[in-house]
Amino acid sequence: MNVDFNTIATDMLAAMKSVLSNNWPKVEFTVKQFLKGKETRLKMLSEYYLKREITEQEFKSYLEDEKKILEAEIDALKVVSKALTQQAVNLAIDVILKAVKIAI
Amino acid sequence: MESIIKKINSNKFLFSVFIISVLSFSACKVTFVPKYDGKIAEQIELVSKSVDKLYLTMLETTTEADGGRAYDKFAEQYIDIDIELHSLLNKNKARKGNEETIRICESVIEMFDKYKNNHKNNNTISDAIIKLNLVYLRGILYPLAVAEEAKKMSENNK
Repeated sequence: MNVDFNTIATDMLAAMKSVLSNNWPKVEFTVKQFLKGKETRLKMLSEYYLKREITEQEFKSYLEDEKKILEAEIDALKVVSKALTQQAVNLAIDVILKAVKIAI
Repeated sequence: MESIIKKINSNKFLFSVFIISVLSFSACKVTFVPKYDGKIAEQIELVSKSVDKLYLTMLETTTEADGGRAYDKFAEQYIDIDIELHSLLNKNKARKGNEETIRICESVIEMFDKYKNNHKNNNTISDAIIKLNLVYLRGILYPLAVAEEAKKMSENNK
């Protein structure tokens, strides 16, 4: 049985890199949507507060909600990161398995 | 002759151990997030639509005059949304490795309950508050949808 470990390492790295580059546009789009939403909400909130359509207490309450949204967005990005890591690690495992099976 | 047979048997044993090891390694895949669930994704979309419907109906078809926005007139819709949100939370709690999604779901419920209780306590709601409640709930439901969609990425799709 002859296993070329250098080739396996190169192939594993390539497989893992492909995961990030293939999914980057989706991640970038999501982050931009998060920022766009934040901008819209904060504009509306300040506008209503300045026009006295909401009280100071209500204004502060929505700012607290904005924090909750930010935490939720960070949690969603954590799921994205975990999902991409899972895909990359499993692709790397596939590379090792294929190499070993060929060597058998 | 006997020693040759012993050697063959010993090699067969090693070869079998090797094959078994490779096969068990094949089954070894890491799991950091639960599998994508299309039904849950659909339920998130439906509950988002229900929230939109509640606030847009309130805004477009009623006014604060003459108790037009009294809590009772919308109580049933609030209850339906509350039920759907708790159902989503329970489904997510039943999935392993789903801590982030559970936290998002709990924040959605907390925010929705706060808006519902404010409406109940004031027994009316202004246009500005309706619009803010709508954009803030859309804002927190979006990461919930993203977290479910992200689970698709965990599957090998190079």
